[in-house]
Amino acid sequence: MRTSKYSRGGILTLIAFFGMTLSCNKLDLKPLDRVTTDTFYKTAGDFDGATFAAYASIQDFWGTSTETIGEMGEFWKISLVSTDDVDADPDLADGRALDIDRLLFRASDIPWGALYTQIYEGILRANLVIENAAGENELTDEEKTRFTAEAKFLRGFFHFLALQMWGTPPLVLEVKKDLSDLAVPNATKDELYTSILSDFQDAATNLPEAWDDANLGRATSWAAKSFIGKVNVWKEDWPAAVTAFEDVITNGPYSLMPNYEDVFDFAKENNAESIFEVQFGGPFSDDNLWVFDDTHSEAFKASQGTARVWYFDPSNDAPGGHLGWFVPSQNLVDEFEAGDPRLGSSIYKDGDTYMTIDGNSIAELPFDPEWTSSGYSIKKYGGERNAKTADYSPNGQAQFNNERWYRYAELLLLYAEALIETGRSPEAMDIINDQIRARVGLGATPIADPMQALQHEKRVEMAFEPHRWFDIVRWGLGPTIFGSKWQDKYTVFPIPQSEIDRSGGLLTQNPGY
Amino acid sequence: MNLRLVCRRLPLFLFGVAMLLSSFSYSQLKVSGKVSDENAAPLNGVSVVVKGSSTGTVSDEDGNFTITVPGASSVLVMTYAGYLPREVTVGNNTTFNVQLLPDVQRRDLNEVVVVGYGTQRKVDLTGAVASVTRKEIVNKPFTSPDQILSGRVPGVNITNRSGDPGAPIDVRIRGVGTPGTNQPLWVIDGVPIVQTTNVTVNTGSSTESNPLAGINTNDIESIDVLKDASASAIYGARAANGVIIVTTRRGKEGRTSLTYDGYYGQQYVPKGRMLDVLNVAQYIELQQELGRDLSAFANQPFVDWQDAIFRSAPTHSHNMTLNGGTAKATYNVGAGFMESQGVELGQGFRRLSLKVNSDIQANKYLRFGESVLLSSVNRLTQSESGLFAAYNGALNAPYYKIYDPNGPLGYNIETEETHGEGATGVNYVWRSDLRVNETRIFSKKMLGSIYGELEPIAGLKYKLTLGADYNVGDGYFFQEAADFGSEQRQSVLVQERPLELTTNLTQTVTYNRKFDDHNVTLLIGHEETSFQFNKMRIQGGDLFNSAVRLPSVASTVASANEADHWALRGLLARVFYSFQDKYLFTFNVRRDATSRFAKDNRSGTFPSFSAGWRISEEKFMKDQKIFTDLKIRASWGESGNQFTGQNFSYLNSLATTIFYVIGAGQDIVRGPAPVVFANKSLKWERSSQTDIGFDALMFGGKVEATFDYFNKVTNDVLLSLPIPYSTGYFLPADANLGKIKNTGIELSAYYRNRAGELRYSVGGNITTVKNEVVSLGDIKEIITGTSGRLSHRTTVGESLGYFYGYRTNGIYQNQKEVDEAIPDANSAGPEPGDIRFVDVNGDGTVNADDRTYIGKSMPDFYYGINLSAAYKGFDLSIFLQGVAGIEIYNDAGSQLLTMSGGNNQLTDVLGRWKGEGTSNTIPRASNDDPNGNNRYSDRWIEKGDFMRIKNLQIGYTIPPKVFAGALKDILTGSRIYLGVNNLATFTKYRGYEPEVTRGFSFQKGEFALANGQDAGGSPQPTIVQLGWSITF
Repeated sequence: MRTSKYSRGGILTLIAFFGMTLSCNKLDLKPLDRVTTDTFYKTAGDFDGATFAAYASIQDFWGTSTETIGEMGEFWKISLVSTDDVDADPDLADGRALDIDRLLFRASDIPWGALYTQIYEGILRANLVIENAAGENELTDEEKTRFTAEAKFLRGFFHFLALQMWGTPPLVLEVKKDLSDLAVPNATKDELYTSILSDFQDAATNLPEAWDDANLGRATSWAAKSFIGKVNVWKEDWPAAVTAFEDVITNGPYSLMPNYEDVFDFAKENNAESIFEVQFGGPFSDDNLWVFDDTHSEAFKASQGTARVWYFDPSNDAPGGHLGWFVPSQNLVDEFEAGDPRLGSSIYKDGDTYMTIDGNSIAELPFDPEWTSSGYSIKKYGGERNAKTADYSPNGQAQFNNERWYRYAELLLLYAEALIETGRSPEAMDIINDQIRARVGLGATPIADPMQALQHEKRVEMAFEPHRWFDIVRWGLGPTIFGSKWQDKYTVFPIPQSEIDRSGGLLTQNPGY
Repeated sequence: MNLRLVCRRLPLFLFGVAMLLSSFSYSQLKVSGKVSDENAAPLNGVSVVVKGSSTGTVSDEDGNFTITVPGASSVLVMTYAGYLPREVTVGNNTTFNVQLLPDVQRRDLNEVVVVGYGTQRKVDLTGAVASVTRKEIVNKPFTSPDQILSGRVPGVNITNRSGDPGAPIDVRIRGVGTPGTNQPLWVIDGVPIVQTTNVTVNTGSSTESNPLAGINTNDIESIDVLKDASASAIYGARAANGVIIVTTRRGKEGRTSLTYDGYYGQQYVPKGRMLDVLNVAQYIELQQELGRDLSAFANQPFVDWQDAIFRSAPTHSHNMTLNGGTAKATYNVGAGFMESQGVELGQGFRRLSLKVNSDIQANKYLRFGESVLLSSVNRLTQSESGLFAAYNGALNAPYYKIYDPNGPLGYNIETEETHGEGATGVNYVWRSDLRVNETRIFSKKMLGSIYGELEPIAGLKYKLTLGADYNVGDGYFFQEAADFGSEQRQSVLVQERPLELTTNLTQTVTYNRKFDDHNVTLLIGHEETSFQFNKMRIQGGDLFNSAVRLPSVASTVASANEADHWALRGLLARVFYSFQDKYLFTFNVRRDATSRFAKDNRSGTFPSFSAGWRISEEKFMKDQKIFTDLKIRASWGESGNQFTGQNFSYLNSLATTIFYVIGAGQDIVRGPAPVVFANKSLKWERSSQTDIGFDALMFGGKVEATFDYFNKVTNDVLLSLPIPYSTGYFLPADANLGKIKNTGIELSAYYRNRAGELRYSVGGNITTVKNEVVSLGDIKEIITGTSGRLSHRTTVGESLGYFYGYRTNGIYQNQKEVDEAIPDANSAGPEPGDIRFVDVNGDGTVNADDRTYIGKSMPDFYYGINLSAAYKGFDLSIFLQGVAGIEIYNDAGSQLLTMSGGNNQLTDVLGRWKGEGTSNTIPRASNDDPNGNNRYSDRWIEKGDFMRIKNLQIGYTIPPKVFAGALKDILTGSRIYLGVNNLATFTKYRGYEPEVTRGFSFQKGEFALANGQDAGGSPQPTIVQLGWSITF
């Protein structure tokens, strides 16, 4: 019986094959290009990394990305172009910058979404550190306390900016894990202030006063205390602000740099005047400046720089092929009193020597007012001191100079304001005259009204630093500056429309948007 | 694996050649002939055997055959499925023209259709399967096999992302069932293909390429589309979008034939499709109104940017196919070359392919064979800085010159001096010059399988198939250092090399037994599939010398990796039972386990049932004359989908590509963090489908009709859900959410007849699909769009991802109307001439709550119409294809109507509002648009219906007798033809092309939640094609 022999043989073969191959694929696979949490959040090194991730979200405020929602330096539009200090070049700038310049704030516009995303990404990363430090790991108690404090500093920082921008944004104090419960409603201002101050207080108590060289640039307890003062200014709790500032001024490590230009010098990053600085550096990896790419599909991170030089430096026939979107306004130039050296440090005008990166070398030539629509260009963070090839990415688009987010001069001016508000104007005038103005070689302010003197001084001292819009709102200067264009709704920005859409009705839009 | 397959192929090939040579050696008398059907149309595949011997051959596509016979007394027996057999005595003739007559009763009875893991007689089918045969494939300018299906198969809709050759194509079988990838599973010679978007360079969706473009359509014998669950459920885990089975040509026993098929064509974009933009005077006048003085350019001539970028582009294709074999071994070897320039500058496609198939009957019990495809595709596509060149070029100031003899490389630079302050001037011709920008996607494909089939007892078969699909991609992005005037840049070279390997093992046991009235087929099987992917990216900035095009030879070098893998295991079974060939039942089941979900959710079981009733076999049908064959079918089944937006999205994992800077030395430090919300409970998406249909053959075969009603419901839809940013996640979260329903009907019908020597046929098919989101779980709505836009919304009761924006209601004609305007959150206050937006919810203010449904990107129905006629040696065919009930978001067009900024505009803006009553559709010109006239609204939604003459072909078959002498013996068939592809497109849509898929962004893949957005891609070109086919 040949057939049956074959059939038996065949069937045997079948069984053998089935048996052999049934388990040939492994189904318990792990990602190849990511770390899973069961092997992370264990060592101090892991927690360092997890904390750095939260800091990294701040870098991306100014990010440029084609990958995600197409950000193009949105925080400059929000913090500079919105104000009377900076105009968007009508022929060069993108539509979003032009709209913001015209105070056309629309909830569906990308700038709000960009900042909102980065702020809450930072909060998530801070919360991950806080929750995981409390869990099972190899940290000492001391390390647990310190990492928690640093994460709380960052969480406070992010929530404070969210409060400044949107008034009553969500307060997120935990990592959301349930897909059906992700949306968070608006928090009240009180809830936000309480949480922000509590976070900064924890940081002030448990962070080191200073870090070693290897960790320079991380938040310190003095930075936290400085923020407590600043938050209380916004809260208009003037006595609390005065107390905090006085502690920092009396006992803290900060001092004004002897020369105003030292403050923004690439060679003097994290200097004595620096309270909190956003760190940039390079060169690293790619040529381009797409920093906003933590979710980049190609899994690379570009140069750790800002596109400051790319957006700020003039276009048209100026060397370097930059965009020249944002230009100083005539109104700001006029604000500087005659002989104020800060004008020359902050702004290029006719007759100045202009310097920028041009290809692989530094160009140096007379500034041509025809290059820009206002005849001026932003010089702060640039100029001779910073026009060094090491300060730029190899393609000349990104700059590595840190962003001085919070510096001692601002603290002094905030302190002066708190003094004015608590009836101690003469002391405030002393700070303005003997510290802020004295440093740049100016005599006593010619403005008699202390508040007006302060407002003038802060505007010129901190030009192109991201504070003026929030000051305009706080000081109620909107109608004065913008006249009939001003609407009450501008005291806060619109919450991104996408966030309203995704909240299932839990989150309420700011009035008027 | 592949090397082994290649090694395997060689001896087989040599063996085949040897067999062929031996068959020549004992020839005695050579006769040839042509077999045709009742309508004198050539019959392909007719078996011609010398009676009483084992000598035989099969007729070719043109019905021709050649056979060697022992002598004049030999009798040739010709048999063909569905036809009555015929015997012819050779006598003194050396050529025969034989006509076979249909056996109406048995017609199509033995016609076989490829189904999952086997074949089935067409009459036995209980599922919805549609087939495309070789006749419809050859001699058409297809770049990839998916294009073949366009309009040909009811239930299948094909949309090209761009006319750029090699661009991705959306294939939709019975609607859109899931928000993720909707591509059906392609199974090529038994190997399931994993389609990915990994072969790109510099991330832009414009460099995504069609993963099937490496497959030469000339190698294909047939394509079978498994549409309903009964047919596709056997592919379980990956069958939710339907299954397409491609069978490539296999060797035929008998005479060796060598065929050359080739064509040469010219492609162009008809003038009528171009955008009609303002001339110099009109542009300057508009800009004057917007506050820009460009009068200095008033005397400059008009520069037609579109004309400069569109071009008449050649395309040609050459294929050699060697086919033959003996009763023991058959082989088919096809070699192809195709080259096609794109209709825009900076586009091109070139493919080399080799396909080798062989089958060997080793002995009575064992049969084995292989199928190997090697191909190399070189696709040139527009670079990032020269993207959508024709459309973007149209935005240039109309006097902005292209060339300047003193400019770099002879081009006009982009400065205020050359284009004027505030005017648009981007030199897309320069930016398309390969010396400045070159983006290429190379991909090499090695797809092969080897099978062995053992039949120890008649009817019991064991089959083992080992297959591998190995893809080596190479994305190449080069930009030369350049100073465009507006932009200065250093040289950059990016090389991205993805490697993908899919391995597949399938083993099946089939048992077929027929006893009396009962016919049973049993199938059990096991399948293991694994996928591995690794990509390396190197970027070099500031090249040492741009003659050396290697990224590592640069001043700054950066690198990155991506990697992924998954595995799938399936067990499958099928039972087919028929009684008296009249009552048919099929049951399928498959259980799959995947690595893509957590352990508890890993396995899914996908059953299906179907039944058929051949009414025509019933006694009461015997006397009627209408139906030759009539079958009613019904099926229900389930299939699955495992593909989520992210890999391993069920696991908590951290991205390792986040960095910060810290320390006095400004060191770069790594900051791992999660970027995706981990959803542990992720599980299979299940789609269940009910299908009811009939197949009818009427009037003795003159009319053929197939009808299907389908109702497909996708449950636990796998969705990339945009979640609140306050969670800290930018990327959407993968989730199983809700239910999507696609219902519709498919109807196809054919009529063929003859009048004298004229044979003709008319056929057509139509499909309606209604897409409806039945549930979204707890989620109220999903609003999303490309690049973070909020342009599309998904809500219960509507189709997936409809256009969502403001509704407009004319223009404020005067101050009185402005004074009565409803407050608008997006307006700084309207003026006469501004657009009036509708307060949809009637709450007295226009704000985000007034956004509403303004159109949809899914068609109501689509259709194809086929006409063909033949007279003597001439043949003519016309093929029409169309889509109706669809809207397009004309994003590109919107830039041509904004009347703000320095872009040139469509001539429509000449009719803009200039005072009361002048226009109620086009607003006033306003550079800063304080009213938000240009916000996302129904102004940018257009009807996308179209009907196109997809193909027209006139051919002439040259009778062998016209050839003299030796040629007569060598040539057995030849045909020349003239074809026109996309001869005309009838549409009201005003963009370049009504076939529109997703908008451009730097996120890859399909975007079903935000589809139908025209980014300004290339139109489908018209191709005039001259082709010829010669068989030796």
